[in-house]
Amino acid sequence: MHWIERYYELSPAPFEGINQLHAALDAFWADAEVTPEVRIRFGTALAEVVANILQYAVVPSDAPIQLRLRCSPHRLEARLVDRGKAWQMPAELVTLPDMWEESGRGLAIARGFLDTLQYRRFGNVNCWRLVLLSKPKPA
Amino acid sequence: MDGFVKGANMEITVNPVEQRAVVVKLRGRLDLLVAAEVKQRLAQIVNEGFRLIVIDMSEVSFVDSSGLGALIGGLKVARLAGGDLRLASVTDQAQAMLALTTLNRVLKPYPNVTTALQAE
Repeated sequence: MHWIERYYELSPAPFEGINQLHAALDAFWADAEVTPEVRIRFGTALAEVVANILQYAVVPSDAPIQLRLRCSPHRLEARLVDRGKAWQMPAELVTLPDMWEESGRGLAIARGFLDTLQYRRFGNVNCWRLVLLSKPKPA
Repeated sequence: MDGFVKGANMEITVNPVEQRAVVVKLRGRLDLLVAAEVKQRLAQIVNEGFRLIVIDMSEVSFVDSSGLGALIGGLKVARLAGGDLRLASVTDQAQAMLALTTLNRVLKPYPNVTTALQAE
């Protein structure tokens, strides 16, 4: 697997932002040689974090969300930067809720599929870092 | 009841197969853009008297947590009415979501529509 790095901008408007994310992933997977399982884990986790940003951090008039995707021989990494509201991440938001709850699973799913899910606030910027090592975690 | 969800990448086709059973075929992404609409359609189907809803997932390219929430919402409405909601022909991505969240305990995936309709 070669080093591949791509940069994308995602609209802060949900419909456009989500469609742009899936288009970005399709383009990235065309170049990155990873297994279908890795695509599912990484793509699903990334979509959950982007959905969280679109729903809770940014508004459509905000600046675009910056996405960097990087594939190296042993890891996949995504970095998301937005200028939306700061995210408070209490522990229960990365824990799966009760079976019958209809919401509140997004970040728990992202964390479950990844090796690292990190959020940091720098000034007025939110920065998310997602890492999946090339060897899938044991079930 | 058939049709595209406005402004999103999802098509819903509803086919009654018995007096109280219906197959709902979803095509596209089942995500936050369509989750509320899908949940509403499922509730509408139960309100019309159907008790067994089988969702054909074979052409669902992607499911996110909001999409799972819509399915749970539909299952709750169906169960409250004394019925059930079952998933058929679930893709690998949706299977991974159901397994990770352990929702496959209540949204048990069936291999195909016929099996889902006939299950006890």
